[in-house]
Amino acid sequence: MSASSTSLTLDQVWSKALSILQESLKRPTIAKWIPELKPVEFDGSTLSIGVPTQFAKDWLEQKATVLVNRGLSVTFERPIAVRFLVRQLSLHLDEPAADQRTPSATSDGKVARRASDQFSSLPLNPRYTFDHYVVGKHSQIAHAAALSVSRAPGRSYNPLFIYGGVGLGKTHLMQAIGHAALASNGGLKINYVSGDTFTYHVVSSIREDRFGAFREAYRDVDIWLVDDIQFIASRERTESEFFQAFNTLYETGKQIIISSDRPPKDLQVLDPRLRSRFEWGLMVDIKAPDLETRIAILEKKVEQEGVTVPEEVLRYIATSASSNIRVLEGALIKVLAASSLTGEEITVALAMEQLRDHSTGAGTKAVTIADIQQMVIDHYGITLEELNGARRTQDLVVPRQIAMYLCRQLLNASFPEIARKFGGRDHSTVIYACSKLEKSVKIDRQVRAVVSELTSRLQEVMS
Amino acid sequence: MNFTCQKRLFYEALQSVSHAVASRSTLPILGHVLLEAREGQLKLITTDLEISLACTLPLDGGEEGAVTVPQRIIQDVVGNLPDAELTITADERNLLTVSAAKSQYTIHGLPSAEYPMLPQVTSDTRLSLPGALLRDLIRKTLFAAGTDESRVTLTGCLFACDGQMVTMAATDTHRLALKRVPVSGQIEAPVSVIIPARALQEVLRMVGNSEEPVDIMVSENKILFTAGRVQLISRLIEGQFPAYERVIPAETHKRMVANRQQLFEAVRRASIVARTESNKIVMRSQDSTLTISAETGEVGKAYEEIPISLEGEPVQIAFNAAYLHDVLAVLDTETVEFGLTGPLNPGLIKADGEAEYQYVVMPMQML
Repeated sequence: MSASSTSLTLDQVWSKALSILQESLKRPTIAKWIPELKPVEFDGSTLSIGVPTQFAKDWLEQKATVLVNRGLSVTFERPIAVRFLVRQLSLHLDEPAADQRTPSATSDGKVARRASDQFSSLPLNPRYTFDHYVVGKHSQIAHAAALSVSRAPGRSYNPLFIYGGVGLGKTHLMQAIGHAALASNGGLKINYVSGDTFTYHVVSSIREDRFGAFREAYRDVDIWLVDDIQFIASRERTESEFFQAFNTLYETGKQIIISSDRPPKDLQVLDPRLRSRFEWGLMVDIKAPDLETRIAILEKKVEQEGVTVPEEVLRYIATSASSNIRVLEGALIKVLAASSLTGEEITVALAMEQLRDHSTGAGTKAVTIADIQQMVIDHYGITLEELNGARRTQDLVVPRQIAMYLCRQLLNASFPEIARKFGGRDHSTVIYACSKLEKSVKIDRQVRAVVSELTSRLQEVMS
Repeated sequence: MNFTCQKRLFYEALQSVSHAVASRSTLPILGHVLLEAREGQLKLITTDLEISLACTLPLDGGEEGAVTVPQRIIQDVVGNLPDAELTITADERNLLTVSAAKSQYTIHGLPSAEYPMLPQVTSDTRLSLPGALLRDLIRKTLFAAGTDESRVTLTGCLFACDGQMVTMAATDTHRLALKRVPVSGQIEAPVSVIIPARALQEVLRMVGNSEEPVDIMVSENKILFTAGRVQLISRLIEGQFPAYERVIPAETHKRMVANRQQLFEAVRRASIVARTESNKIVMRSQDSTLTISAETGEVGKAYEEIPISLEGEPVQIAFNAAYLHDVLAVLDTETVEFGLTGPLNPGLIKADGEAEYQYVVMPMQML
């Protein structure tokens, strides 16, 4: 191949590109596109290739661009890039942002307000500060990294990736960074979002054609806290929006903190670039706390509650309750509540009596519809009024349906009973919700992930 | 429950509600039809929780009551009985008995109390459209609706009414079908909702060839169609239909007028060849002739000529044959007008003499 060829022809470049594509697109479903790929033009540095559908374009851009670019550039000894064009053109339905936002903002303030509300940060829990965090061997490194990040956001470890099991304090640590950074600089814009909320934002901006507002909301951030990143995994559009937001913030030196229930290498992401981005910064894990730390956590909790509890009782609770901090604190609260209700002194005997279920695993704690509602609203950061209310926006409908479904699945509650407890709806709504969810669980990874997480948490309480 | 009814009437009623039965649902009761005898009327109700159908028959005496039975079974049993008066009874064990002259069938049912309640649509937003008009609105737009569940708002038709005009529109992002017709009468408040495609297919079936008016009631999240004895209630699709007006070209520099039937047949034939490669056909105008051609590596070549009258510069443009075929199949005028600007600009198809219909279609890259 002549390197000096200043006049490469479309055919030359195309035939090379085609052979690279044929080599890489061996999957039969993909290979059937090959006859439909057509060379459009070559301007000396860019080869345009026509593809049949938007889907093919997205797929090829993601999987083949780098390969073809590299292959062509090496072969012809000059930088050559490919560009994929969809042969079927689309109507310009999706670009309302520019010419629609302005009039709606002036003529109808409500619309504009709604837009900014909907993509806003979830509130930080005021209790989740560094002061309330108990450091043990299990979380020493994570804690040190978090502190360092909070002192110099964007300049020490970026991104900071915190991973570990359920109920070990990832959210606490992450929000503590937000609180601490805000305390030293009140002007910082902090956005705290969970993986599933982010997904809803993406979905609703697709539905409502509001990508402009969505992107803006996620570009205007100094510290981005993304909780439970595993929930965005495997959704193509969500991943790609996340990737873009991540890149924009990262390139402008903004701090990104991510939490996950597993390390990046185990995340089921479609785009491997995403995984490698997570690995750019610092990855820290939080393990289950050891006995000493568990006791220390209980001591801290007792101090917050303003009560005194004998050491041996704390030790008993710490040994009997599981390693999950949420469960541990729950056990303590249960003992405290029993004591204050009955006036009994807090003793190991009382703790044993109260925690029989926890320690032996025998007997079932009666989980109620209210418990499930609480768990769901905590998970989604909505209020009970919203959950049980009449509003039917997507961000409420999904949690509501999930909550109804869990009541049916785990408690075997009757449809009319569920209907009553969810703001007195009629039971057909519940039937609909449950059958809808049954389908969603099968086809929607996102919903499945939420349902299985909440189910396992509830079963933990119930067993 | 106990009543008598002519077989033919009962069978027609069963058929009229059969399409809202969810036969493969995880809830077996959704495969049932609810029979409810009350206040001198028999009501047959089915629902798959997305849409519900109800049909009302007048009863002559009998005993009130309600039961649900598998729709498939009862419809098959009744359909195969001879044309005669049927006696239908149900007891407290939910057994439904259908008796004709010398036949008697007892079918296991489920308690009516377990059946989902028929959703109530209460609203002051009502309008009434002649059957033929509603049918025309749906037939000429529905085919352009999208099927991609990730863009739910496009999987139905926009239905809007401001008191003077009724608008129905559908788009799948590659084409847009829009029909507007004037209506008489007042409505309380302007309506603008998205009706799921499936509900509209059912409305088409329900209206049939009837010219009778169809009453429509729209609430915040549901819509009710009433045509004679049959009612259809559907959930509405939530969300905002895209601002479709912006994609309708205000002006097209080139105008072709062709015989609709000739164009339709030529496109249909050429698409046989085009099928294997995205359905692409190329249109070229030369004076008063339009050529339509397709060529694929796998199948071969197609070439068609039809006479046209052309205003403006010669035309050369590629389209997905299916997008032309769909619209030419539902139009019923003698000629169609095709407005074009450039090979990458949308084409605008109008039915000659049907001012209120517009079909916008995006071309394909010529390549």
